Amino acid sequence: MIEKIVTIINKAGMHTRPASNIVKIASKFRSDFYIIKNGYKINGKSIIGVMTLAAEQGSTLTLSFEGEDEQKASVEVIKFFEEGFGEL
Amino acid sequence: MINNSEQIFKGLAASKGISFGKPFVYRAEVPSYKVDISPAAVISAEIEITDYENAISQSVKELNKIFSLAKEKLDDKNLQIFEAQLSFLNDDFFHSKVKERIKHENKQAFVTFKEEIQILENAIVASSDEYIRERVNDIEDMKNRLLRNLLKGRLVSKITENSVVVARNLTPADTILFSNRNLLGIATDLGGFNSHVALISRSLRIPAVVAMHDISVNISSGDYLIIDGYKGLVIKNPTEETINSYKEQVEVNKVLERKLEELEKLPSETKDGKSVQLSTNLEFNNEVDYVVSHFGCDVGLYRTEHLFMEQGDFPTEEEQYKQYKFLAEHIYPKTVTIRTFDIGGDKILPESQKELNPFLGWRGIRICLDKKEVFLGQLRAILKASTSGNIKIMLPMISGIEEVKKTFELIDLAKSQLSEQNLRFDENIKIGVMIEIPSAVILADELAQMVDFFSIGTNDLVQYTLAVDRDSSLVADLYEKFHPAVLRLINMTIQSAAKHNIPVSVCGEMASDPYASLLLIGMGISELSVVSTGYLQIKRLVRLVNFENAKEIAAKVLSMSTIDEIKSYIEDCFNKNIGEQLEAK
Repeated sequence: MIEKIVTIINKAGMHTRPASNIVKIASKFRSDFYIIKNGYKINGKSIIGVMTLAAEQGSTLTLSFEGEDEQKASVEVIKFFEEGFGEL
Repeated sequence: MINNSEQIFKGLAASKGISFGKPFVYRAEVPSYKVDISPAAVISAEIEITDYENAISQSVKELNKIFSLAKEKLDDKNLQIFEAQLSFLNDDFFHSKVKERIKHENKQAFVTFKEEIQILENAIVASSDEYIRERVNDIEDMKNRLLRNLLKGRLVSKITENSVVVARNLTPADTILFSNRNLLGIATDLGGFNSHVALISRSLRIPAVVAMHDISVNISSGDYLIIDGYKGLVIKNPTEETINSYKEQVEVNKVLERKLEELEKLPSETKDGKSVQLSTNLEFNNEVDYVVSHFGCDVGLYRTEHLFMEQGDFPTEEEQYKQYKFLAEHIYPKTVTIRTFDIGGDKILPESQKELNPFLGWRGIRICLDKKEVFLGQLRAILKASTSGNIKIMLPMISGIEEVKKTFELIDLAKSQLSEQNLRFDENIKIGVMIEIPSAVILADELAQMVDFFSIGTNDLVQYTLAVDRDSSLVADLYEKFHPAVLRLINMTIQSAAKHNIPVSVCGEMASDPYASLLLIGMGISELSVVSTGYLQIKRLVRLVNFENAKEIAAKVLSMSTIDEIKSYIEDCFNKNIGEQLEAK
């Protein structure tokens, strides 16, 4: 299992469009992907779940990957977070 | 079917006709998704889950369709929003959670879905970030679409074809859904002559009786019914004798109808050759074919509110375009006058913000001018559908010059947006206003110089002139279209239109009333737009009228100052001049 703490850096936060892209990226991999915010854990392949986190700029999230391709999955997803969802 | 316990229930005749059939007793456990309903017991969780799955696939299908239409027209950012909408609908993790709960808690699918989506909404709304909070709107479409399909699936799958619907009350959406299922008749506990059920059943030519108080609890599915939409009766388990006498009546009516149909091909002109244009009001697609094949006339009023009410939300530009295009193509070469949304604020405001006086409130053009994007969408949809040059635009609830000016600016904007996209439309599309507020009558001279036509909405004109709420039973006796003030206002409008050489029609209830139409013809009205079921009766009347004579009658009436005087005089004239000829009804 890989765990990584990330911060939301883009101004608009984890709104609909990024949420949709996170799910799209994560769904390419077989590994399970969870996002945890303030102890609340959601399935990162569910856009409704991701939206439920309502994560604004500055929020800290834990990303958790588990499965055969967890390495690859974590690299791509974390990259998307670090790029501020392409909105910087 | 032979049964000793024949029982007769009396109500209000809302739509003419007689029908025989087995009842479908509709208990509105889900009257409308705008209303919160307490969770009811579920017959079978499997059925709920199947309904839920069907609603999802239907919603995905709809959104895909819109998505494919929008693809060429949207930039990448907006396309991604569409994609996100689709991914909401395709969120299998969410759906399996809902299905799990339906199974374990034995709850209705739509209740469970609403609860789960509520969790999401609460989380988003609780955010301290405004932008994130606004994202709650992104879920709206998915939520409404799914709920609508969920409820539609439930309703339609339940109705048996060829039955008489018996219900406590039917919402507009219910009635429209039912209307696609070959109904024989309708009987409801609630509703009045002008309630939505009544209007819809008349336009669909389905016999209906309303205001029956408790019919829905007195009928069960094993019964057999006769609906008498002439006398306002429902006969439960009629004797053979009753059935036979009704069957005879049906035959007699057929002969009478055939007589009326002979009028279809005759011109609409008075005995002395003055032509009075007759057109019809239209609300539903189901009516179009009938109007085209039987009357071949213009559509003088096409209401667009039903598009809103079917969905409980404003329809998309694309949905509207399809609708308007369908109409324009079917009616061609005749014309169709599309009235822009005349929705009351009570239909869209949340419960907590309802106005005390909705008729004096946020309504019609006022909403449209405030919700510019919605209005622009409708205007673009109408314009795009206007390429054959047979569409006119009509604006409701105009109270002054500014509203017309502002609307013209928006129409120009819509036109230039379409031009930029190289989309075609009728550059010279005719634009008219409804005259239904007394201030518009007073300004009719100025308005007539701005627009291409007038249409008098008599129902609202009466209400606003006399300060009588149409829906209040306490003042119902004051609601009077033969009030001298109302008649004089109508006459002023006709005079102003004539002075500036623009056509003026009447599209309210008054145009379908024989006494009133006699007067309107005498005042020189150019067009009467009639409910389709009254079209031939009014045509027969026009053909029996002597215009010179009607002019004299109108002049005399306009000099009278009391309702009683006017009513008895016009009744008298009517009987003398055309009454006997009409007797043959």
